[in-house]
Amino acid sequence: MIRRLTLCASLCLAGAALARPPAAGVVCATYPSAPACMGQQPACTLCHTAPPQRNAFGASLEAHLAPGAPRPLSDSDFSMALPEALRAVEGEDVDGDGVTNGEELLRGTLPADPASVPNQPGACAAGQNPRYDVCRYDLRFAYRRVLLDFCGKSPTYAELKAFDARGEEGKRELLDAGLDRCTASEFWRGKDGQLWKLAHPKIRPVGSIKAGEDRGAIPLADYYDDYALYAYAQLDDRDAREVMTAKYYVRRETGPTRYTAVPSLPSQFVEEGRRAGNLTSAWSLVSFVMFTALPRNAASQSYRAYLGLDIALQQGLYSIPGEPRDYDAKGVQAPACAACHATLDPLSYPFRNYNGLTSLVLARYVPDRIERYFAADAPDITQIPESGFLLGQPVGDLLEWAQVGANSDAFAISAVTDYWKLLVGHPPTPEEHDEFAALWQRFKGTHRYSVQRMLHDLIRTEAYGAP
Amino acid sequence: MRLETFLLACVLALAACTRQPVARVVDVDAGTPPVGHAPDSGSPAAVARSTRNNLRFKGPERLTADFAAALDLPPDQLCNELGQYPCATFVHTVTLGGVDPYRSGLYEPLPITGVTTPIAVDRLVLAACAQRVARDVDAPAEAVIFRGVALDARGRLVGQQGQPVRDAINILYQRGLQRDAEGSELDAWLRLAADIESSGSGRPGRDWMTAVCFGVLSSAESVFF
Repeated sequence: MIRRLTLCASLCLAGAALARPPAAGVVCATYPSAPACMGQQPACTLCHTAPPQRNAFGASLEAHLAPGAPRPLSDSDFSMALPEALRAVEGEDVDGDGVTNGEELLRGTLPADPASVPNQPGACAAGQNPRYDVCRYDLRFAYRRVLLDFCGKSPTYAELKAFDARGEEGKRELLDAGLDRCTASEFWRGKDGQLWKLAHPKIRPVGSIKAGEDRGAIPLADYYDDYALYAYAQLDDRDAREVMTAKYYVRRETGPTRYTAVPSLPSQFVEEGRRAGNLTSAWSLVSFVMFTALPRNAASQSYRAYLGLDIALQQGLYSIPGEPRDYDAKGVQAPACAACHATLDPLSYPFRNYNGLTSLVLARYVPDRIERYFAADAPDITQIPESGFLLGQPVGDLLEWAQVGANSDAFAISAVTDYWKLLVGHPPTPEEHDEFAALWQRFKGTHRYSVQRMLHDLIRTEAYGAP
Repeated sequence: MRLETFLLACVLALAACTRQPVARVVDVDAGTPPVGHAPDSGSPAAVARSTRNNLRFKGPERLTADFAAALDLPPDQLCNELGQYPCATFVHTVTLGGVDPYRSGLYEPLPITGVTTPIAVDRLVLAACAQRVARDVDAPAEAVIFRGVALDARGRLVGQQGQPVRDAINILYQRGLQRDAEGSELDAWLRLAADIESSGSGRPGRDWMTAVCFGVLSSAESVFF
């Protein structure tokens, strides 16, 4: 009954304010405990290769989806029929990997991908292992990993002897002390340290156009400011969301590396009331907005970098009714384009007044930017609103965009996934899902978005400490 | 190529191919675990193996730090191509699992180690070990690893089975792997000393020191965690 109520609610909401493409919501209403539905939605690639083309799982569903009803189905008819179709193919194994579709959905693997199969959780092996407890969390193994992960070097022979001499509680204390000591190291927080490595794909630096320290041949903006804000927000119990919402900038000093919040920097130009962390840094505007009227690239990169949703991979698609409007006459209403642009374009509108390289107002907020620089580009281009949609929710401007994004489950999942990949060595597997889900939920809750607290939690997971 | 250089290369290549006790324990490249998680039947002690298969490669920074600490060498002098370009943090960075974000736009490490990764590791370790051996032999009073290991006029180890040689192996294990050498490991390295001497090397003592250093620091146990 609860599931039916949930399904009804999702259908009603889908038709009203949220206006999401119904499929992902219906899948989650049908399988609420599926890992792909924990704080997120399944990507379109669950059923499609590239919408509207279906993969093997989508094709098998199609045969059971309101058979005989005229096509195309309305969203409402589609939503009513999908749960039954999902149930009808649960027992099939469309990818031939030996695991039924239903089991794959419930265990977080892909029913159309034969390479994606659930593994048996690690069982204890027979025999002895004098150096590792291969059955469960091994404190000594975890201690070595902590020092290597956060300090960048193995413990010494003497340190390990001292560790071995302690009782279990004492060993746990050393783990925590090691983490706190090592997150102060240059290996962790310094230039090109581990935090900077996490930031590389978010900032996407290009040395040839860097300004300031280590300047390139054509200096345009200084992305070291972006690294500094990112690192600052990750350290010392600060709120990690500020990487998206900060109104301040961060100055980096060296010998040893220190990060300090400051109200302004000579290399940054957006007025305080229009700042949204690294989304509005000079580097982001110069390199992602560049010369474009509608900064789709800036929006999709922000979505990918801080919310972990890559539209190019058909993740995080929340189609907005009536979109895309194609204000800039790029032809995005073509069916092959609209599947993504119905999400991407309203995601991009809040960036409309943030200037990149156009004219001489480099990396600034310009209230009438479109009207001033792009009015002749397309008949309706000045109609681009500053309001838009993020994760299916309306947002008034980029500041609200950043707030909604930073408070979303997607942000917490993305932030914790970054560290999981760095420290465990791979994205969370279906077998690790329970530990991972508990971790990102505590990151939002008890850890209050403190990366430091979350890391103390992460190093205690079986995924991290069981050899 | 000098004969001893050729022989040393052969010894090192063979050492890298031989299954060592250390490699059997961690066995990172053994593929799918046996059905039913049976103990590794190829291991003499039937060592229980990990079911998680989640060892991680140390990468350029950690390898540099650990080798520098093990051999008491400055990190920036560990290995330099053409005497000036750092092997791990400049020339072979990407091969060793690092990134090159500013120049090449390589923002994340390659997901797997490449076919040339072991070659780069060998290069790094061999350069570092050669330096350590040279320093220990040239200034025995300040030796870090091969303390008290004397060479005779023909460059052979004095007291091939003696305590200083055993102590040196143990120091290497403690500094490189943070544990004591096991009896079987000690025996294997002592046998290698005899093998090198019988190969006709012109400086068998130094070659043995380099080989044991190389073998320990390039082992799976040393480069994965």
